[in-house]
Amino acid sequence: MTCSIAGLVRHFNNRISEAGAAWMMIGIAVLISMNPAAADAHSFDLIGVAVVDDWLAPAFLSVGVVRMAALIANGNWPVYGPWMRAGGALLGALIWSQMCLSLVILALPSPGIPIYAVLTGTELFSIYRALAGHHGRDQR
Amino acid sequence: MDAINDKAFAALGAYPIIQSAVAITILLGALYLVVRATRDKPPPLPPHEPVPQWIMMGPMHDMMQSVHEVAEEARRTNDLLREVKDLLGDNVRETQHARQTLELIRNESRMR
Repeated sequence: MTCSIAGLVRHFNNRISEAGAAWMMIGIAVLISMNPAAADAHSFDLIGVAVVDDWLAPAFLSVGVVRMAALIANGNWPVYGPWMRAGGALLGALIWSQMCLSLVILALPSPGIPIYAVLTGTELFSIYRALAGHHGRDQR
Repeated sequence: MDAINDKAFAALGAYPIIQSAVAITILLGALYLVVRATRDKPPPLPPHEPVPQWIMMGPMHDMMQSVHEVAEEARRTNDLLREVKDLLGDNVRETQHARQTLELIRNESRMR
């Protein structure tokens, strides 16, 4: 992978949405680490039922980093890479859907609702894309 | 302790049920997609077309028509300029001829 815009586009190809979602998770982790008050946002209300606030940032960070690692390795992990991507996308779909649901039922109408809903759909599509035609062969 | 738990869950109301329902829906959707993805054959590579045919419709087609018209206008303009050049050449020749004639008249008038 060459470090140029053309090289990045060539490397991530049609997986740029997954890379974007991974960076969002890493960004949320950095935000909560720098300012823990961000964990009190209404989006995290339902996730807070399952994950303690102190573990929010590490959870987001680990999922984001694993997804980025799988994306950067690309087709070099022919067996585990696609499953890692699919697993990351599943976790992403669960996280975004819970954040969307939090805003729907707990908070005032927010522009975050359609954003999280679309992210959930994109992540579900990413699961299929990561595994489509993958039978232990090189999958890019 | 149980009383506190009951009170806490009562305060949450129907949220845990809705939350679980959404999570289960997502998991079932993901499971369906995993099964579909592992069954499906790899998607065929798109045929390599240097220029997609659809791009030649609509605005692109209009633009190519405009370019063609501009080229036609330029060709006509070139023809006109060539005619003007020929006419100017004739004028130059006539002017030179008139000048020679005037010089001859002047020389003859001096000899008288």
